[in-house]
Amino acid sequence: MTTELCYLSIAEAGRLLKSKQLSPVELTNSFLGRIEKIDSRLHSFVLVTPEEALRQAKAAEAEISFGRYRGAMHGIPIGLKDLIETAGIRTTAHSKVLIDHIPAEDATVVSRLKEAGCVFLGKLGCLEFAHGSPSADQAWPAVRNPWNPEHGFTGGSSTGSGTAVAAGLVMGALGTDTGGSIRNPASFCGIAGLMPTYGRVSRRGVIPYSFSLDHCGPMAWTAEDCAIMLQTVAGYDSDDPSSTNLSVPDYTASLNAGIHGMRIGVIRHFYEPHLPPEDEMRRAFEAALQELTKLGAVLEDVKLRDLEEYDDCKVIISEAEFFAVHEKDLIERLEDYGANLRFRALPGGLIRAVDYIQAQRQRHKLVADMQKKLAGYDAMVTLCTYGPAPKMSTEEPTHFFQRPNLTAVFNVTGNPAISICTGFDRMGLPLAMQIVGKPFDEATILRIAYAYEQATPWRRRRPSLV
Amino acid sequence: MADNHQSSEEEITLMLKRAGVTLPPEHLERCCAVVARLEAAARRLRKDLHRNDEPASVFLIRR
Repeated sequence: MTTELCYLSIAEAGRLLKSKQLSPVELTNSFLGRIEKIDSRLHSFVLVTPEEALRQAKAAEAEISFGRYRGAMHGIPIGLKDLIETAGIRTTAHSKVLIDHIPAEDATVVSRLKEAGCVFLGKLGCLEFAHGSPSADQAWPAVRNPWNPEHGFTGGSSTGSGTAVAAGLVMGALGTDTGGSIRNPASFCGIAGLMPTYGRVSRRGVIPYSFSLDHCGPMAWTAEDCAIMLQTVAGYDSDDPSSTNLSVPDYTASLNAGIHGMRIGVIRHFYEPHLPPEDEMRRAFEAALQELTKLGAVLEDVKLRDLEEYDDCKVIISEAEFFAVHEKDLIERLEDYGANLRFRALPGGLIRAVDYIQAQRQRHKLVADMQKKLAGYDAMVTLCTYGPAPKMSTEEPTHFFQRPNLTAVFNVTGNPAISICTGFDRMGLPLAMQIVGKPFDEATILRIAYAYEQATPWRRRRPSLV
Repeated sequence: MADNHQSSEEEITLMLKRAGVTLPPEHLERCCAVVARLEAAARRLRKDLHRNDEPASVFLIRR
């Protein structure tokens, strides 16, 4: 029964909680028990907060039993990437630099989830400051991929969020995304991960990697669950200078409306013919396109700027901004950063001001060009990663620069994008694609993702862990 | 990171020193690989933008 409860979707659990067929306390205890039982193999949590979780679960139970049901996230157990600040609860960014950091205030997204009545199970591991890669000298072991804990990498940087959702250790999680950090682990862990439009979800209280590229968003088993979580955290925040003051639509209202007649642009030129993805990933993508066609969408190849153009902008901007954020600590306590972050972070201090400015100017052109291209479509689709999860390694020197990232394009342009599962390879590792939308039109990409998930069997398979 | 120039290990060490950072020797090789990547990216950035193309309003188009 415990496993069955932990594999419910947020939408399913919400209906049971609302109708009082399921107790938030029972649900929370199921998750805490499962975390204790299997997370020692996965290391998805850097901190479990059982007392806090049970206190919140009891409060939710009392409220619901008195008829004060707050909504679809009330009593739902979730986790937070440890880059997101929580009042009175240690927030480390998975780094020794912040090993004793106990924030005084919640991030805005945390406040909103608390207002919605969520249960917080704890803080989830990530790549150091959302930028490093696993190294042996870090304070916590590297997070493991639940589809192959011995070998599989989870992607980055929202590693714990991806693993915990897929393994049924949380019902949903918040991640952050500066170049793919929600969508890559979602891809490698076989879950849904949504990077909302820049400005849609507040970043106040989210430890920055790169101010102008950072997004915060939901990771969950299904697109529907992402829609439910986004509903809770989206909206203007006057304390976040990047927040946009636009009304928030009802993200679940049109989920079931189908995609008949939608025009979807297919981006293949990012990787073909010069950067061929692994065969199984490409075949799964082509099969997904056929499925979208069967559902009534009209697909057409679309050509954007070269992938490298986006990637060059991204690395110049993100590395310069990262160094700016960390300059004091990099100078004064470099040894507290993990080995694999030190050599990545330092060159950011050598980027010329003029190159940073030229990158931002070029970015302006790329943003305008993207919106012009998207005007002819409801959405676009492309691969999320070149292949399934690679082998875990703590010795990855510069792999992140070897091939242009397929996800960072949409951090540069600020468009919303969701990664969803498109099947499994012969080793049982998840495959994925990303769906990209117009600015502030998360509803459309969620609708496409939902239609695809409903039409395919991939949401019925979970990792074998017990 | 001047155009058309790939910095040497000595130059990178010196530039980092000027930036206030002491580079541990064990990181030099990998750090240089990252610098080379960044320098290449900077070289490829467009240089033909109109003088009035401002970087400040990156997201203005959507507001």
